[in-house]
Amino acid sequence: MCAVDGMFFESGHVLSTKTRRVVSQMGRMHMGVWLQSERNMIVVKAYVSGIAIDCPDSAALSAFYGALLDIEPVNEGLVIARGDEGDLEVWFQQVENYAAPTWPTQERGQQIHFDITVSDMDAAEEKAISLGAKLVDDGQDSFHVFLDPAGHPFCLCRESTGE
Amino acid sequence: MAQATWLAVNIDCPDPKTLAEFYRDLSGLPMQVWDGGFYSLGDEGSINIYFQPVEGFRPPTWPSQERGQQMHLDFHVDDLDAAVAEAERLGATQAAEQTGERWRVMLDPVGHPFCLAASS
Repeated sequence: MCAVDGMFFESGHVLSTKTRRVVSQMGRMHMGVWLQSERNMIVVKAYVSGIAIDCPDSAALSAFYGALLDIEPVNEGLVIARGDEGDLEVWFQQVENYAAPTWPTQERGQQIHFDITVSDMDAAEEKAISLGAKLVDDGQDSFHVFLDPAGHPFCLCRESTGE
Repeated sequence: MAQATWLAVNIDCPDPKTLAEFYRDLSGLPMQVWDGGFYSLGDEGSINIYFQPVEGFRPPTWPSQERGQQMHLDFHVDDLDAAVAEAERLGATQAAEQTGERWRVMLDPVGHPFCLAASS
């Protein structure tokens, strides 16, 4: 655990250098926002810079999500959004004795899951399954529930047509 | 080619309002309340954090894998000590196991680990 965390945060330091460069180049913001907590009158700035996912095989799971999202993994991480204060990255953190969620039971809950919007549900579903995902619930029209190859639930959500 | 884009991160919790307010106060991200008591954080058009109520919620037992954390959020902060103090004031606690000096492993009010990392 310590070794993997160390590797992850080494990458984080590289990111923070890059972050400053991105600041001057990008004009839009994502979920990571530098903000002062004005309401509390305390100057603390925090933004979401990463989401780390536990898994038994970092390379395999980063390849899965990379292929699903058409994003090339870098150091077994994926940059899923870029913003003027920095990138938002997903990291795949290999842990010993990994135990997959037992969702929907709370024996080992999922704790967090991802929603991924798709323009073509049928094509995206076929692609996800071909990459190793398992369809567990397609009872809703607007989203279908899958397990990734390490057993984390995630949803493919039909893109809103605005109608 | 099917276009797939990241929409949201959903966090399970016993009470969406309480946890959404915690992360709102920690990050300053705008909070939206939706019909049916759903809460989200983030700007429109960006990746959002959703809060999903579950019956019988049981927190992670991290670092053990009895109930692993599965995922966690990382926050970059400009002043680590001040950010830790602010997070504690909001209801977070420092994890008993720490894994480095430049970041602090915290537990949110319902027990999900998250990290505060010095950004420089």
